[in-house]
Amino acid sequence: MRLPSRRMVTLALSFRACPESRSAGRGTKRGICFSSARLAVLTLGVWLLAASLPVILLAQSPQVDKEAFRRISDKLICQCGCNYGLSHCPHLQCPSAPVLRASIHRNLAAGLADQEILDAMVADNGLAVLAAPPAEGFNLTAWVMPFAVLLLGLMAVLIIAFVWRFVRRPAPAADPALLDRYRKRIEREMKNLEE
Amino acid sequence: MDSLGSFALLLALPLSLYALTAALLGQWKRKPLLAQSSERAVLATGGLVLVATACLVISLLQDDFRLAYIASHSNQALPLYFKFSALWSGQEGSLLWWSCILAAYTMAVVLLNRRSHQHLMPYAIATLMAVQFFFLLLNNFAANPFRLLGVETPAGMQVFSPPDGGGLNPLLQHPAMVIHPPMLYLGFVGFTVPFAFALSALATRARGEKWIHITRRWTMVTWGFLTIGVLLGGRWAYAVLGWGGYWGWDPVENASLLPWLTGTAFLHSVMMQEKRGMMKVWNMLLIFATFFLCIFATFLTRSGVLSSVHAFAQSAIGPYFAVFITFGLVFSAILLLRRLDFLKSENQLDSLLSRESSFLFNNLILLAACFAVLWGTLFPLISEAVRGVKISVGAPYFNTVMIPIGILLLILTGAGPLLAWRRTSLESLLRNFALPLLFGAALALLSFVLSFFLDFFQGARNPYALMTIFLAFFVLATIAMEFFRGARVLRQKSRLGWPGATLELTRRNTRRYGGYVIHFGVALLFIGFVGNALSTDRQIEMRPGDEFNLRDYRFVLRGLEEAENDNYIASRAKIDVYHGENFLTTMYPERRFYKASQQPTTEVDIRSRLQEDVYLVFAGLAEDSGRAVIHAYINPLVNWVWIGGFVMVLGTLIALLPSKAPRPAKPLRRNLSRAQSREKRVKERDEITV
Repeated sequence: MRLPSRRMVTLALSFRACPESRSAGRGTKRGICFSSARLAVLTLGVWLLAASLPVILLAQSPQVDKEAFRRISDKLICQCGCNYGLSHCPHLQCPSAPVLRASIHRNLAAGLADQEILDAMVADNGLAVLAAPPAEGFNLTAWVMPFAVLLLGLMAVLIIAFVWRFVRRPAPAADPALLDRYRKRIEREMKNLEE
Repeated sequence: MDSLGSFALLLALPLSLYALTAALLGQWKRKPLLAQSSERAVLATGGLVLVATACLVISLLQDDFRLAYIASHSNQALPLYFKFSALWSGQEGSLLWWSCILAAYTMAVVLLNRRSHQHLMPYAIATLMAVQFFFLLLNNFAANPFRLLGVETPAGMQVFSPPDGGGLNPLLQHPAMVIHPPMLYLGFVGFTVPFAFALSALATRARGEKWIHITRRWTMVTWGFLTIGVLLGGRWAYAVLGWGGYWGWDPVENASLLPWLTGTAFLHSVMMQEKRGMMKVWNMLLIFATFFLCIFATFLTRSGVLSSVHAFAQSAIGPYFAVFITFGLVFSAILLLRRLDFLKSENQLDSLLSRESSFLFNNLILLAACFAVLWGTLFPLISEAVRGVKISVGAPYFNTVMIPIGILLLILTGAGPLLAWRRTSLESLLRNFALPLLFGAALALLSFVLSFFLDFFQGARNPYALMTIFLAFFVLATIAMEFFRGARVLRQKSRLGWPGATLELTRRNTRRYGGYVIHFGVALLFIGFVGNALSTDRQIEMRPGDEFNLRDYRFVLRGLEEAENDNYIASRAKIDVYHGENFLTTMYPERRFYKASQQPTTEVDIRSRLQEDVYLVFAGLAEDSGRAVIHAYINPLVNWVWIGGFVMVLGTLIALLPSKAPRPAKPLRRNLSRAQSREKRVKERDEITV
């Protein structure tokens, strides 16, 4: 079934006031005039929209379900020991994946939200069913530590760079014997030059 | 064969201990003959380990099922090359393979360096032999590949030979498995050599960068092998495991990545020590970390401490490894602390905008990546130990944590090589980066716009994918410009064409331009990674004649075929693939049932092209409907991962070649000879005058 066209919707919504019967005319409501033709168009538009709504919803629901299923199953790990995500377990006779997938479909059909389905999965199978630890309590360290280490490292690198760049070590003291030798050589060469 | 192999292994054990002791005593007591004797003991130990390995290979090829290892990892119908690869498919064989590679490396080290680096050799030999002793201990007592099968009879224990073996794990019956483990092990074991020389430099209080010069090629070769090994592992997973991807952040995959990350950091930071005498302690720490992570990776793969589809052996060798790693770490740390005064930096950082600082940041990011992978891999164990709660850490965690770190690394891959040593001016930075930045941004913008019109680019709306496209093309452009600039200068000085000038440029500084080629490969690798955001899949149950669409492709199931050979029974789906209305090819994904091991496997069929792969899995027949379960994936850009890896290896090979010394230009040489002859004539005239 076709959706009401944009042109039709525009027509239905572009009612203007009837100048001749602004105050007491038929079909006038709050100063806006509905001519009979436009009223018919409006009715037809509303009817078309109402009629097409179930079709639109029916057409979209498997897609929505599929996306929701993929979204949820990507967050879960198959429990057969293969370590794959639930979407990817390739084992046909897997004892775990079909059960978990059926549970997701059942819960989606029951209208549960993503998080509620995940919570139900955890309640049934334990935290190990989640592909990533939830970011709460002790498990928060799993998420925080890599970035904390990166930040600490960054600070360390900046401090090292600062120390190397700005806190210069004093130049090592030269050997007096060597200095004396060079001084004598310079004097000798200067003297030769003068001669 | 089994007796000879067993005897060789047993004899190699005390001999390795002797080599270790003689090397140390020869050094301490200043007895050159003892040191020489230790070198000969190294060669003898190596020879014995090679003999033992050859014995096991021959026994495998001869189907000697009296050996427990062969009975459980091979069978008569197994193709010859898989019988050979069974050497590293199980616990005992793979540990012998470790010893064999280490023996070969150690013999090469002794033969190549015993004359030229006598002062470093004794401690290097001692370290190498200590590691060899540990593995020989495992080979002899914890995981002996020559253990015979026995059966209790009234007359006592009798050797028993089953008529056929249990067969090789079907997952390992793939061509990549014939070369992936050797490459990975060549990488893992190879890092023992720079580690040994680093310890030797510490022990002998050797000043300078001698140990780095000695081990530079070793490290690069080893790193190259490890790169090939890691990528082949990914290729194997892609072709065999049938889940549509090549990297699942599995504990064993992660374990192979850990030493690669620290090894890469080491390869970069040694340049600072070579050029500026900086980061000496840091380099020691990096090579220690790399070596112990190699041992840790072997432990993780072999101990079964974490469950993995890649872990093909489980046993009680964990405690041996734990003791070895602990002892090694404590010893190395003590030695390093006692030698800190020899490792003082000779120079300081001149500017924050310099090659040195880029190396500092590069090391930081590589080590942060290493920590993130290690932390994620071990977190299930940590959680269970601390809270007693089992959790999983899978791909969603690693992708969330590693993608930002990878992007930071990609920035440095492009920016780092363009920074000058000591300091870089802001003007030169802008001059070098403006064009590549524009190029990267233009392509990222184009991908973003195309994502609204073409299905292929849909994933480019993902901010990470967009950022990666931008940075990858930025890196490619910076490297291309570096080659272009250098080649242009050479062309001005000579009559070479562009290809010749580029080749000549690379030959003049193989290390620098080899490095650029490696970075080019890394950028291609990241372009391949972007494909993950663009991939799509669909699983469907089909009867012959049924069809389904995925993106622009149409798949028609023509029928199911049966095949059988001595090794397996196969059931394969015949699927015609169309792109729009054009027939492309017929694909045959299989489901096999291996007779010896009684295990089913899926054999995917992949139609590989530069832009995308069509990846079909025949998962089997659905129990309720009897229909064929087909899982189809469209995986864009996957080939660029393998191409990137190939380019990285090519870059490593270029960097290994010795650089050609530049010849002075012809006119200059003519002028030089004229000047020399004039000087000679003046000299002769002066002599005559005197």
